[in-house]
Amino acid sequence: MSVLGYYPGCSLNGSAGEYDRSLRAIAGRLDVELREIPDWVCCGATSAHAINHEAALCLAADTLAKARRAGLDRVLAPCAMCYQRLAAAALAVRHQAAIATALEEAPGLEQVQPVSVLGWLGNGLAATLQAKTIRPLTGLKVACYYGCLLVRPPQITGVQQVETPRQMEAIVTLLGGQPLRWTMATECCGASFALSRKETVLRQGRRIYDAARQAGAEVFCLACPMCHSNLDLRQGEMGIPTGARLPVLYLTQLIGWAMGLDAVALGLDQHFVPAIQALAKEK
Amino acid sequence: MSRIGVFICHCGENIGKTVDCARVAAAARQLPGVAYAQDYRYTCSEPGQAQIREAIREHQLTGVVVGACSPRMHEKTFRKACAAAGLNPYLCEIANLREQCSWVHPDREQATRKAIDLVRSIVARVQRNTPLVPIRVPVTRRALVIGGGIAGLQAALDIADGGTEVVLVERSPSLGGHMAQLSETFPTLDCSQCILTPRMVEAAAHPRIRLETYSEVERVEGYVGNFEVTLRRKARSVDPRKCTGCGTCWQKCPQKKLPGEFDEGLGRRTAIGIPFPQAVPNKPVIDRANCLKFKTGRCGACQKFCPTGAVDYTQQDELVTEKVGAIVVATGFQVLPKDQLPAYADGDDPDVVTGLQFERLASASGPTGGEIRRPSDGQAPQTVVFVQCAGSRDRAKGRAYCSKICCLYTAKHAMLYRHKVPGGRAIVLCMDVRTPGKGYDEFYRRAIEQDGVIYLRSRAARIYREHGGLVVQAADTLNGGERIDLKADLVVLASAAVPQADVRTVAQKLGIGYDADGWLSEAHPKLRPVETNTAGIFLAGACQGPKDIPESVAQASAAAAKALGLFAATELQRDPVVARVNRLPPPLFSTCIGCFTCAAACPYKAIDREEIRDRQGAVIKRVARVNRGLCQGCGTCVSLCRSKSIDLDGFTDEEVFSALEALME
Repeated sequence: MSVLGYYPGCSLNGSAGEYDRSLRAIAGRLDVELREIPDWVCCGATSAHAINHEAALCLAADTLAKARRAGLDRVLAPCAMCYQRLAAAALAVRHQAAIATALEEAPGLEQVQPVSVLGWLGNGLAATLQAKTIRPLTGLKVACYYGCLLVRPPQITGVQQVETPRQMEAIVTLLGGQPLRWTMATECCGASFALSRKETVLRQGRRIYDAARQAGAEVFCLACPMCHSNLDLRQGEMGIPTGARLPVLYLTQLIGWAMGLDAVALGLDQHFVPAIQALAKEK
Repeated sequence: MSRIGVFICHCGENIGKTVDCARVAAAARQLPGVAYAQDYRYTCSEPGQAQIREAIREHQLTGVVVGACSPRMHEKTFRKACAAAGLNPYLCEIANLREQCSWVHPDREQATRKAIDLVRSIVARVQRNTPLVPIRVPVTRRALVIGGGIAGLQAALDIADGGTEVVLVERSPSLGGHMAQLSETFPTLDCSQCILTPRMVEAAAHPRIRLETYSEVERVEGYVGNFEVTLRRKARSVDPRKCTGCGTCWQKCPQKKLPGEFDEGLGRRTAIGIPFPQAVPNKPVIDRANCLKFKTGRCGACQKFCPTGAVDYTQQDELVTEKVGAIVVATGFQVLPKDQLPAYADGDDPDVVTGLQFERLASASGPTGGEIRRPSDGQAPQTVVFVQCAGSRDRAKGRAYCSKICCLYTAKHAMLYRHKVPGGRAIVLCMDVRTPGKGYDEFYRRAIEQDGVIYLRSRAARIYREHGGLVVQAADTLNGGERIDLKADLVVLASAAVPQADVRTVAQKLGIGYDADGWLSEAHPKLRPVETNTAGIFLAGACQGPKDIPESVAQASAAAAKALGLFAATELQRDPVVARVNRLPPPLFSTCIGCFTCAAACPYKAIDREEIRDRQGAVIKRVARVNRGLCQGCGTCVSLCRSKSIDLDGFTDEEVFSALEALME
């Protein structure tokens, strides 16, 4: 069993509980122990880095330092925003002396490597994922949705093809699903503007929904709690009738389902747009 | 005993204001070996030079030191003056009292003391100088032009008209280059092919131009005046002496649906054929990768129907060697392929076309016969969005430079579209519009004022399909970045001009430089714009950087003039500042140990091997040998030589160390 540092962030402890549950469930199957970073703090997304760049980096760097002291040099940050903040801090630690000095108490801090869900599952786990698939998503038409921060900005994430990423598609293919080519995979969902400029978020969500629908999608697959809540929670407000709504699934849920795990254990019963039916009818 | 003359120049106030020149001259007079010293207001002036000449004669000077501006400025001037008085010019050296002293130091006392130090150092150096004689190299009066686009054609015609034979190499089956693909040209809207094809014919018919189409440069050896170039004549599979260009073969070819490169993938071609009707030479080539005969062994229709028996499936590539004295590189550019811009409809939407594809759509000889029809369904587009700076001026995407030609060709495209599709909407998204050039701004204004083209200051962020149609998502940068979504039937990208994919290989074969983007480097960006750092190799056209037709033609003529200038002399004189491997009496012969680190490091491929043999012809020793024709005197070999066997004439260790030691005194 390998050990991976785990940084759930606020959302996996709250609104994205099903992401946390499904992630832990598949980690178990993949023989990976997720070890939560002791005493982790807020990643500094949105509010902190909109107000004070330095402070936001220090918040994330503080968590990285705690990981280092706990001997966890790879830290999985499932939330795209958390990942982006931790990766930005890791980059800053390597290039800006100021932050490194502020965190002198964690020697070797520059070795801590934040990992996104895609980075974790996409690297070297392909054979395992395929081998553990006992309930393939045969023919399930999946719109893989990256949003903004899972792959961008390239300076921080190191992803080469930021406009046409295909990592999620590759994983869905391993599970037997049929990833679609569609046009809004890297469009912004509106993120936290859901609170201050809701019309914008609804407009963005509708465009994303329309594009996926038009491409023939049966479900969305994503890896960001913010994207998830904007797409799953608001399809009614976007004016989409009940029967036409698209289930919005975390990548980890799709993987878990393909591994034959129980729907409730994966939190598939937690969505606003019912998801279990879409998956079950395939069988 | 040396008799050195020292001449301190005031350079008006440039040196005189900060350095007490009279005091420097007085101090010089006290130096050992100095026979004469003076100061003067403008030493580079005719009276100043006359004083040097007179002093040489009157005081029988054996060396001259001029304390003046940088040697890059006037070293030549003063050396000429010395030569006129009978002194070997390489016994004259400059002490830089301007750039390295008066201009950078405010304090007069300190600057004067430093000037004295500098003069003392150069006086010590010049005492060690040895007379040098310019190197003479013979010249082969024959030129090679690489590239048969407009730049190469112009250079070849100018050199040939100047009376010198030219070998014109083009790697594709026909002359013409990108200009043959263009529809109309800015700012006059005259037909590109109509003005180009007569040039192609003229080159083909010229008694002093030999065409080598469908050929590539394989290897380049030698040096200025004496290059030896190996060309690979690729197998055409057609004997050009028998072929009459009747066209039967391509009419009979069953492979009719191959994407045509000349039409940028928009049209179809056969496996045997000429790229376009006006091709020069009018002799077909078989595309062996796609020919059924070569792929499956069956077919053979072209051979069967050829009335002159010209089709030859057994033809092989041929290597030919040419001796030339000068080379003009005119290898051109490429348009950024759209798959490099995935934000624009994933880089593979048929209705998002490159600028060059639009040229083919607008061209009367193109796949649509000059009607603007979108590639996906052949409909006439009612709204066309033109996206400028597609790939250019974008550091994040790796190209910080402006492609220079796009603003004008976009205005032309929009104008042509408005002429051909009355009532159609032409919208240009631009960061700004750059129109320096004769008649260029007028042309752009005409697009707006007469042809109703709409310009929006904007940057296109994304292009995607929505409900089947294209949407260009952009920011209105004059309105606080307000988002605009434009529905379009066709999007034309003003695709960046980029270097040829294999430019680095070509440059390495020729031993010339290229910049970080891959554009070939000129010797000096302002004063030597058509020369490369390798003597005898010149640049023409867009291989050096994005250029429009007039600029390419002007540079080609300039390169031709340079080549003709080189051919004007029967032999060349070169500065003898070159490296030399020492030679000693037997039994040592040379301290060179034959490690050839120098040969590997030499950027000009100027070092080869020499075998020292005894009288019976047996090899005693292998040592490095510097080719004095090729050596540019950079000194890389000198610093790398571990047995200290190489020295640079004009900058020998002895000369340089004497100068340094004198500074330490």
